[in-house]
Amino acid sequence: MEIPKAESEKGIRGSREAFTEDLDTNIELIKKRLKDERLMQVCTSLGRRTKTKTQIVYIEDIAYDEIVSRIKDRLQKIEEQVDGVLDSGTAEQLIKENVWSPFPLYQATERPDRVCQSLLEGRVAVLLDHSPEALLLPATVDTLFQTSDDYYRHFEVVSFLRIVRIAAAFLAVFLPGIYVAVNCFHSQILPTALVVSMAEAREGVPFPVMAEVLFLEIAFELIREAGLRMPGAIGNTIGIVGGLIVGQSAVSADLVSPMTVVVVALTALGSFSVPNEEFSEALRLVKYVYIILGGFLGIVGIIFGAYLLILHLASLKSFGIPYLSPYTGAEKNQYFDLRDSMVRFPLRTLWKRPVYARRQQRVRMKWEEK
Amino acid sequence: MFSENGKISLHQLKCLFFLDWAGKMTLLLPQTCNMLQGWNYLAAIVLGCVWMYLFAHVIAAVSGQIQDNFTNYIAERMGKYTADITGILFLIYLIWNQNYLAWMTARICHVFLLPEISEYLLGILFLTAGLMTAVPDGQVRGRCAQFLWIPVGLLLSLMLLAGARGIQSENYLLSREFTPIQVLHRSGRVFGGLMAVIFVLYETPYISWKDEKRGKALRSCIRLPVLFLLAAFFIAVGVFGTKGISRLSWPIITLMNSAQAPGVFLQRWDAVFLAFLLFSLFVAAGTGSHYMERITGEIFSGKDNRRMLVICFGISAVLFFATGNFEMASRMYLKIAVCGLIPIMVLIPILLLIIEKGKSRGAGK
Repeated sequence: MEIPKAESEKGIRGSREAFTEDLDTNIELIKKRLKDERLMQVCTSLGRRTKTKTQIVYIEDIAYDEIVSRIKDRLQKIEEQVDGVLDSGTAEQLIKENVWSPFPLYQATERPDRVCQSLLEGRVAVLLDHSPEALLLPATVDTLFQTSDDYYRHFEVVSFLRIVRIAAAFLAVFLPGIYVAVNCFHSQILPTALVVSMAEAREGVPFPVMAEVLFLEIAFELIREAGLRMPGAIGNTIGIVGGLIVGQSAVSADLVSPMTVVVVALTALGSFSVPNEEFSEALRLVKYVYIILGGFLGIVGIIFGAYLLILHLASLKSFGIPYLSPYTGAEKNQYFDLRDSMVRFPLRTLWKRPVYARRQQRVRMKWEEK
Repeated sequence: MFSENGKISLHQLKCLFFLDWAGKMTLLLPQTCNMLQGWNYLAAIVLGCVWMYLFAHVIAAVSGQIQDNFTNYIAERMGKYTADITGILFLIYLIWNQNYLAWMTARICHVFLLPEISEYLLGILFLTAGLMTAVPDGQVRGRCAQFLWIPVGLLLSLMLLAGARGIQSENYLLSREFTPIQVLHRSGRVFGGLMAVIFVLYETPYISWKDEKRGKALRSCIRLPVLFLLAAFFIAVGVFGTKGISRLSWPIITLMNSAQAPGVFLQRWDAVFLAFLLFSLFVAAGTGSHYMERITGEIFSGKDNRRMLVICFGISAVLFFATGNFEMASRMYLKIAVCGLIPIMVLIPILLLIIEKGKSRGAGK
């Protein structure tokens, strides 16, 4: 079977291979890279009618027993009780702990090398037949900002890129809300020249700034959705042409101000820079709450919303591991997990596995331990 | 799993203290000492912190004796009625404290950020934040504080340092006139503001103390927040002088306003400072509601905790509307909570410690 190239998780360095729709081939892709006799595969089938072949893959002596047994239990529940499971996306929703949260508590990946990296860290992979993505569990906010080629490149560059991604996520969530808040309530915090130029740019726009931002954000979502549904090249064209034409025409027709277009474009760039698609989608959704809070309560509303968001993220757990780990609970692993979080230390210093690896097997580079 | 043992770590406790005090005390302390000047001002603040440090030792000693929870512990030593009355006293204090904090938040948001929005709405927003924080378990609160404390602490420290550029050395040449009675009186108020440490008694079963000595552990938790407060006031005294501070309503915010950065991108740094300070005020709101839930849970065991919390929220909201303005809330807080309730609350752990010492001496004989 021909092995496809990774499409949604492209990297600059490293393997180009991606998973196929055949489970056996996918397992072979993992085994090709990980020749450890302790690599465990637990076979099961999901769905009463579909009986979709599923494999839970982990390294026996590294993965935490309790995490593995929880995953098995959770999958066992949907083994017979659910009519059909046709894709890993259905499985992940059915095994998710907090069904009301838009944030992914798993990491979907199409790259076999990413799966192998995660298995070596003590995580567990779930692969389904006819599904070209593996689910990696447990997932934390931190893992969702990382890419597989983060470990193939120099740590200085990777650290910088990780900070850029986090800043991008911040822009994706808060920028339009802050823009609305500043425009509606706090224009005095900006220098007079900037306030004047912003007011001049908005001259003739009949809508309040909150409606203006919401209108442009929704227009952008429309373009994105239309681009996704169109076949290959046409989809890309719609994205570029639609964005340019709609933006330019809206400014010319005095429907929106040029500054709003800049803000919405930056927000979109921010959301695309987040490596995990599901996480990026959740952030895009949350952004609307901040636009409304910023419009009604200014910066106080944004801080109130941010506080509730942090509280919500702090309440999430992925198979017993806090979602905000290692930014919370880093002391459980003597703060070693922070060496591979917002910034990445040199590979030689990452001699300890993360907190979700079995305690007796936390050391992965014995020569560095000295 | 460690994330499901229902306990917060000592590091998380430190983060909670830091956020709780960074917001509340930087705004509150100048008011508690506004009658004092010169060395008296600094002496009252330092002495208040020393009282609290000593009191932390008492709290740690008592918490070491708690097996089940604080209410049951008092019931064993002093009877069920005393335990219930103590819980109710703590609850009343928390309600007044919540009301005062709600008015303070509403006032500073109204004056510095949102003059268009009613103080009532802002106060209710504060109380709601507290209610929503109390609903998840204590571990969530701990994680939230641990996530927030570095960005908030770092930014507040940077802003303080930026404000420190305005220090004038002559402001440190404080008058030598010393009025010990006034200093003692005001230091009591400072100590009252730092009362959050007493609630460790109710939190004890939910703290992962490990094998460390409790006194040492608790002191290490409060060291950094106290140092931050002292540094903030040392800088404020250097910039405004003690006379200047007593004339300002919110000296620390004014200090932030004087912070300058190269370029003219932001005109008002105090808005950024306040935005970050709001995080710590929301954490303080959550702390209040969390202890309300915990205490009602212990006093009225068997009843639905969340329903009791909503009732407390309702009482706080009614009190908030009844108080009517910040000045009234401030006066009432001082009279009822600081002068009326805090002395009794402080006395309870001291009495318990005396009883415990007496018992151990009796057993020794």
